[in-house]
Amino acid sequence: MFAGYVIDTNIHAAYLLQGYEADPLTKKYLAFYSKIPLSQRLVPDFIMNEFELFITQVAPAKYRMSGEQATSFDKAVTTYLRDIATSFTLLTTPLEAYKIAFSLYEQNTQHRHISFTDSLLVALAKQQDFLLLTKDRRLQTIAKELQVGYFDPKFAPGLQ
Amino acid sequence: MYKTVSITNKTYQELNTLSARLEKPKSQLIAELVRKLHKSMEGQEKQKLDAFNAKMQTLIAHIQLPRGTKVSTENIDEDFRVLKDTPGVF
Repeated sequence: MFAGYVIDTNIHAAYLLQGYEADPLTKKYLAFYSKIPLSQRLVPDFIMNEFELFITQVAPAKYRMSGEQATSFDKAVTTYLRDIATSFTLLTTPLEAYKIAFSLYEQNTQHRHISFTDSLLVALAKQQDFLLLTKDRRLQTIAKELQVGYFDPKFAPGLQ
Repeated sequence: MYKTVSITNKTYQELNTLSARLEKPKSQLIAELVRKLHKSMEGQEKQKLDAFNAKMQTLIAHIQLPRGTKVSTENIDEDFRVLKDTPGVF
């Protein structure tokens, strides 16, 4: 038994945009994601913030959606956001995780930049003993160094 | 690794009584209670997940992007750069 996976923004985004992403590795991440019980999908406040901004501002601009396309997209987005808020497990960030995140952020500034949001994500997983679900290879490398568990599709050959 | 939780005095007394009666450490009792609660929720969780997956797959299937659009969620951080050209954001 375990508390669950902290879900990165790239997983939420890939989930909603899955009809247009052909990458086979992403399909494996999503196959795994679709099997995680809703209450074991952990969504930190800062990820909710990043994902909402991405899906409501970045995606429509990047993919140049028409009015009609934006309407069907909004319907899926609104439903998904509501389900995150009501059925997933929302997390606030403890002060200790912020301190770990800032330390990570500083350590990685020079040789392999990671955003403060990504630093927070891996710091929260470390501090709260959560597993991590992200497609970000750099984040996985840092998670491995910090002995934070994460899903790796290489070790789940049956998923598709 | 151990963590601290705060519980009411009454709950603590009841836990203490159970611990003495069953001759088990309080931490073990809490672990067992959590395990049993988790087990009882599994069936409901599966139903909720199946309903959620079905609903979302229908909505996702209706998402239409411009013809020929190929999505990559490999570098979300980079994608945020699109906002610098969007009036009214930042």
